[in-house]
Parts: sequence; structure tokens; C-alpha cells
Amino acid sequence: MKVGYMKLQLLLIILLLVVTMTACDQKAATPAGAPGKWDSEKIVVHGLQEQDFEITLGDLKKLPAVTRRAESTRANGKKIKVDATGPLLDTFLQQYGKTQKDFSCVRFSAKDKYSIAVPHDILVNRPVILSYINKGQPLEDDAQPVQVVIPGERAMYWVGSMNRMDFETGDSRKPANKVVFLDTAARNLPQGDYQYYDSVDQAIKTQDLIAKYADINDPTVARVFMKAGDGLQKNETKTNFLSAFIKMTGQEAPKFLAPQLPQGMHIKGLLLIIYGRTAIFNYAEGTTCLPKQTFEDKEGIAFSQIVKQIGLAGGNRYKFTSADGKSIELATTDLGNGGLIYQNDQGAPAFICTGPSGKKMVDELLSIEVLP
Amino acid sequence: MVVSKKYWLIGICLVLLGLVAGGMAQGVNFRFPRYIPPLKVVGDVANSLTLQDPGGVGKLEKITFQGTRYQAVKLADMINAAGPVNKAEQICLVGLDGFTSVIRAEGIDDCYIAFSAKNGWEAVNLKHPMSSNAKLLNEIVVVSDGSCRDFAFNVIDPDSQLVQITPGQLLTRPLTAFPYPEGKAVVENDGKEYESQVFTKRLVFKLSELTAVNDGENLLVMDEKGNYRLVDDGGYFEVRDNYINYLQPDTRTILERVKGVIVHPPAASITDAYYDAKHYLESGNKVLMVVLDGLTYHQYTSAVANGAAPFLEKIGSATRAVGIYPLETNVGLAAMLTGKTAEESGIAAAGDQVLKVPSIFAEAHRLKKQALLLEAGPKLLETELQPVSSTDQNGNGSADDELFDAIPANLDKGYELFMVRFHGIHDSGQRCGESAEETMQAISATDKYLAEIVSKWPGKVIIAGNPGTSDQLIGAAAKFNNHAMFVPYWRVK
Repeated sequence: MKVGYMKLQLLLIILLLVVTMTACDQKAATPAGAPGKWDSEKIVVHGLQEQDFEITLGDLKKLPAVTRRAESTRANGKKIKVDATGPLLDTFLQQYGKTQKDFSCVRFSAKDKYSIAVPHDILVNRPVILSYINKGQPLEDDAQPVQVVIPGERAMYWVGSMNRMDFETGDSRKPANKVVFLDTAARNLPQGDYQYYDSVDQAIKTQDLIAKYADINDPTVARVFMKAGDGLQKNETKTNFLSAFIKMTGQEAPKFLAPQLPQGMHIKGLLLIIYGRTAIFNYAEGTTCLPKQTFEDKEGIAFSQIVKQIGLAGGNRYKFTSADGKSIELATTDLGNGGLIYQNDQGAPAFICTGPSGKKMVDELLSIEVLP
Repeated sequence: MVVSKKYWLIGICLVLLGLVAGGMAQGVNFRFPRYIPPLKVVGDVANSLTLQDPGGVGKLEKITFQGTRYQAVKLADMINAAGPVNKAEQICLVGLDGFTSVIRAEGIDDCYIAFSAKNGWEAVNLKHPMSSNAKLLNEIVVVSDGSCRDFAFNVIDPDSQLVQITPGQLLTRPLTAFPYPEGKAVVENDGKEYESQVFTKRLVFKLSELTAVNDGENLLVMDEKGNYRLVDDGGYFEVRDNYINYLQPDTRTILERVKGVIVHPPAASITDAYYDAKHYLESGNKVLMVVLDGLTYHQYTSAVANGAAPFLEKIGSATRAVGIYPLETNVGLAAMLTGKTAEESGIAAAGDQVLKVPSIFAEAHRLKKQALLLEAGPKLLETELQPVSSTDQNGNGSADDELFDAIPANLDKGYELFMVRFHGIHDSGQRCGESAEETMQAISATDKYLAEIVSKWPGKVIIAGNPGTSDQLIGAAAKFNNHAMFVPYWRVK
């Protein structure tokens, strides 16, 4: 009996030891942003500024982090699961006034010289996490400093030991090279009655707008990007977009809507549409959400601010066209103070700048085109 | 004692011998690694299987067929392990080269699956024609009789059920092998770049192969978790093991485990309740929102035709609005309160209560409007507003009458958003069926309550059915059909 009791005691001690060892083996979860030995590891960034520059893992750790559970499949069919913690690529880009959607592709390269270009369609549809913690623990050494995680995409995009990001705006998806002001353009388009609850407002057809001011047959357009003054961003299929209306008067105007589209797909306070290489910008909505600037006695939006919002292609010369078809061409050096878009006495957008060649003005501004 | 030592020595020697033999075996394995290709059991099964071990499912039996001895597992055991959905009708034995033999699912007691280095996975059917003994198998497709609508891929329009087909049935039809672009990777070695373009081969079909769809026509695709996309016919439907995905390569839209598709979907949705209420509040109107749990468009038209809903008939034809899948009361209610689908609202299953997005009550608060939610039955959601719940105090099986009694005292308290949720139609539909006399009586009772409340309300009125009942099935088990998926919707005054 005594021997049996001793054996039981021994067994309990062994069990206790096993439990203790197991518990000790459980590492405490690493919080996002906690310093680590790889914090000085450098990542080269190309395509965001004039010159390449370097950031460190420590810099990324200062950004707000998210944690996302994701699963992916390797080439060998093996599934990998992660709980990835790190900043979103969009959070990183926000510091430079950009979003993922602004790029035709982003190429991530690894220390072992593996690289992959994440195309625009993925950038538009998926979050990209610059992960430095997996399942609460720092990454394995061979994945340091950053593991790219794109939930919903195959493991070939999940670049480990990432040390370079190339942001590209060329290739298949080219940035807009023309901006049309909706405020002016809508005046030159047929407007029809649109029953909106108890009121009858005026609306234009998106099809008319695009047919007149953009390349409606652009084969590269599969989706149309729209942004509202309140920050809401949506991509709509070309078919849905072209079958809709923009309500130009009344409550919540300008509003993208259609009787056949659910209300959840309508967009109030429409600021921007990007259809292929043409951007449609609503100046009046811009004044409600963009920083204002004053030039002489006029208050408006800096031309550079509109260029930034649209991601307008870089160029040395611009063509400013008014509603009556008259246009002037200005080199960037002619812009002097940069130029201002403001509202004229008739309520239409207008342009003014003062450069080395004097004051230049375009009344009832219809469009600005980047010249090659 | 000496004997004991002797046994110890023999024991140690045997262990050492075992270790040596094991090590040699390992060595052999290392030099001649054995690869067993996967064999999948797919189609109309609850859990698709991928086997790489002959004894992975079922017991290996020794059988002899035409002079050859096999160690094989019963085909029936394999099928049962995958959990056939409804009644299995056919079994397709598909070889690597596409050779396929189809046998009836009944009478497979003498059918076996064996594995050998020479023939790979091999069907050994003792009583079937020789041609059924396919070799180098890579897939066993279970095809049901198709009667299980809950498992099927459904295509409906507002008036009818257009297609009901199971993954197993689809796998027996001609499908297109579509190379879905996954991406292009590059690696630099010795100063030279080596590229690899990656595709995955997907077995796809176009919806127009199953039913008439006009070019560019809108389709509302819904998955079993409540995500949905309004798309055109440019995308593909992929048959994957035992479910269907929607793929749009141009936009990389992927919707997994599609439950159904609505062709010619109405523009109205129950999510409109949020947008309409918000619009009215912003316009300075008082809003009465009435939610009728369980009332479908089909029930509404039947009730009106039978004279069971004179008030609803009087206020004018209802708009047919699309409901939200899964068909759960809380999922539908969340859609009405937030204007978002289950994917965005965070309410995607029966137990979900916490909204991920602000509701109309937050909007009312922002606009400094007082709001009240009165509801029959238990609280379904955690919102910015604490609801006032009525219970069935008189034991008549419904709390709707108690709720109705509580309304007059609150009508003139200055609320600008007044929301009422009746639950009796849902309870009756669950208990007795959607077209039962009792359910029609519940609709009739609710109709009378509505006539009273609406006549006393000094502002705008929104009335919406909240889908949730159909043949006693709810949630993910509920049928995706044209009766359950549409609800009546009114904006009055």
C-alpha cells in the first residue's frame, strides 16, 4: 500500500514537472511595435519619392498595426496559416499621400533575390500586411525583417525576408493624364429628371459623360474607381457604372446612383471618378474636403492638391481647356506659385496662376491635360 | 533470478536487433521513397477526402480477383467516410487520363479500391463489368439524386427556381479547364532573372451554360456566409471538390462556397430600410420602421389574395426586395439596421449579436433625434440602443399582442425614430409552415396591428419583411429559393 502511494507521488511529481516544462516553453506573446534585434534592418523603397530611400523595420513598428488570420497554398499544395501582425501597406503609404490603388503594381523583393510583382487588381481588392509578428511571436530569422502577407492570395505573393519595395505606376494600368471638371462638364450634357424620394432632381447619364469626355471604348477598363468627399472609395464594374446616373442637384449631390442598383452601391458627395486614363473631378465637393488656399482675393484648391488626389501622371506641360473650347498650354515653370482652381462668379471652376510669363487665367475650366 | 537475467539479456538483444532492422528499413525508405498520389472523393459529399494512404479510411481486406491478390478497402467505406449528401445515385471512377467509369451507387458491396505501385489507385469491382475496373484513379465523384436543395447550387429569379444542381452533378457535365492567372515570380541568379508565370487550372462553367442569361445582365451571387456581389456574366463558376466558387479573373473577385445566384435581381433590398430611414431623418421627418419577422413576398401576395391582409393591400403594392442570406432573423435585422450585408455588418450567423458597423440608431443619435426600439421576443442584437422587449405574458404563443399594447403609450413621447419588430409570423411559419392557416392568421393579426399604428403615426413609415422561415429550415440549412429570398417592402406617406 505504502509502495503504491509512493509510486503515485512519483507519478504526480513527474506530471507536475511535465506541466511546468510545457508552461515554461510557452513564449509570451510579443506586442506589436515591441523593439527587437532586427529593428535596424533596412528596406529599400523605390518609386515613392524622387530618390530611392531606406526605411527600417523599426520605422514600420511605429505605424499602427493590424492582426489578420490568413491561409495560403504553396506551390507544393501545402497550406500555410498565419496570424500576421504589422502595418497595412496602405498605412505605410498614407505617410506619402498614396494608397495601394495608386499603383499599377508593387514589386516585393527578398534577400535571396526572389521577387514578385503584385498586380493592380490585387492591390485594389486585397489588404497587404507588412508583417513582423506571426502568431504572437517575432518572425523566424529566415523571414526577417518583414513577411508580406496578402490574405486570399497564393503563397508566392507572401514574400519573406522582404528588403525592397518597388512602387510602379506604369505598365498595363497607366495613371490618369487628363482631369475633367464635372461641375463644367455636366452643364454641357443632357440632364433629365430623376425622382429622388419626394423631389425631382436633375441627373446626367454616366454613359453620356464618359462618351463625351473619356475613351468609352478603352479596353483596359474593367472597373471604375470612385471616391466620395467623405473618403468612401469604391470600384464599380464598367457595366454597372455605365448604366447609372449622377444626380447633380438636390440632396447629397453629386450622387452616383441608378434605379437598378441597390442603395448600398450609391455614392453621395461624389468627388472623383477614374475611368481609364481620364479622371472626373467635382470641384464643389472638393471644397468640402480638401485644404483650401488663397491667391490674391480668391479662395480655392491648389492645382497641386488636385494632382495629388487624382494621381495625375507627371509631365512638364499642361493644357488647360475652358468650356468654350479655348485652351492654353503652360509648362510647369509657367505655373509659378503652382496655380489655383477657384469658383468664378457664375459658380463654375476657373484657373489662375502667376508665373514668369505673367498672370494666366482660364475661366469656366473644363479640363486639364498632361502633355507628353 | 538467473533466469530473469537471461530474459533481460534476450530482451535487450531483441531491442537492438529491432533498432538495426528499423534503421535498415529507414535506409531503404530513404533511398527508395514511396510516393502515393492523392485520390480524392468529391462531389455530393459533406466532407471531401484526399487519400494518400491505402488504409486511410476503412479496413484493408484481402481479396482475390482473376488470380490477383489485393489488399483493398471497400468503396462503400470510402464513400461513407466522406458523408454522402442525400441519396447517392452514381459513383464516377475517374482516372488520370480522364477514363471514367460510372456505376450505380446501390450495389457497391463488392466494389473495392486497392493501391499498387503498378496501377496506382485501382477499382476492383468483383461483380461489375471489367470496364468499371479503372486504374490510375485520381478522383471518385459521388453524384446524388439532386433532391437535396440545401446542398445544391441554386439559380433563381424573382418568380421561379431556374436551376438546382449539385456539385456532383456538375462534375459529370462538360466543364472548361480554365487557367486562372495567379502571378509571375522572378528570382535573380548569377545576374540573370528567371521568371515563372503561375496559373491554377480550375474547372469552370458559365452561368449561361445552365440557364438563359443575356449579355451584360446583372447577377447577384451570394455565398453561404452572407457575402454577395452584383456581377455580370463575365465571370466563371468553379466546381471545387464539393462546392462552387465564383471567379472573376479581370478583377480577381472570388466568392467561395456560393449558395446561389439571383438572375434579374430587384434593385430593392432589405438594406434599403437603413438608407430610407436615414434620408427621412436627415430631411427632418419622423420615421416609423416596422419589421415583420418571417414575412416573405410570397406569403404577402398569398395573404393579400386570400383577403388576410386588407391594410397591406390598401397601402399599395409592396416592392419586392432581396433578403439577406443566411436566412436568420438576426442577420436580416442587422442588414436593415446598418444597410450592410452580413459580410460587413458582422452578423452572419444565428448566434452573432455584436454589430461591426454603426446602426441607424447611431445615425439618429448623431442627428440628435430620439429613438426607440420595441420588439417582441428576445433581444437579437447589441446596438447603440437598448431595446424594450415584450414577452408572451398571456401564453397565447406570441408576444406580438403584448408588444402592440405597449405601443400607444410610447407613440406621443417625442420619438423621431420609432422602431417596432413583430415576431408572430416567424413563429407561426416555423411551427406550422409558411402557407399554413395559422401563419395566415398571424399575418392577419399583424395586419390589424399595422393599421392601428400607422394611422396614429405622424411621419414617414417603412415596413419591411424580414426573411427567416421556409419549411422549418433556417440559417445555412434554409433553402435558397424564390419564396424565401424575397420580402415585401413599403415606404408609406
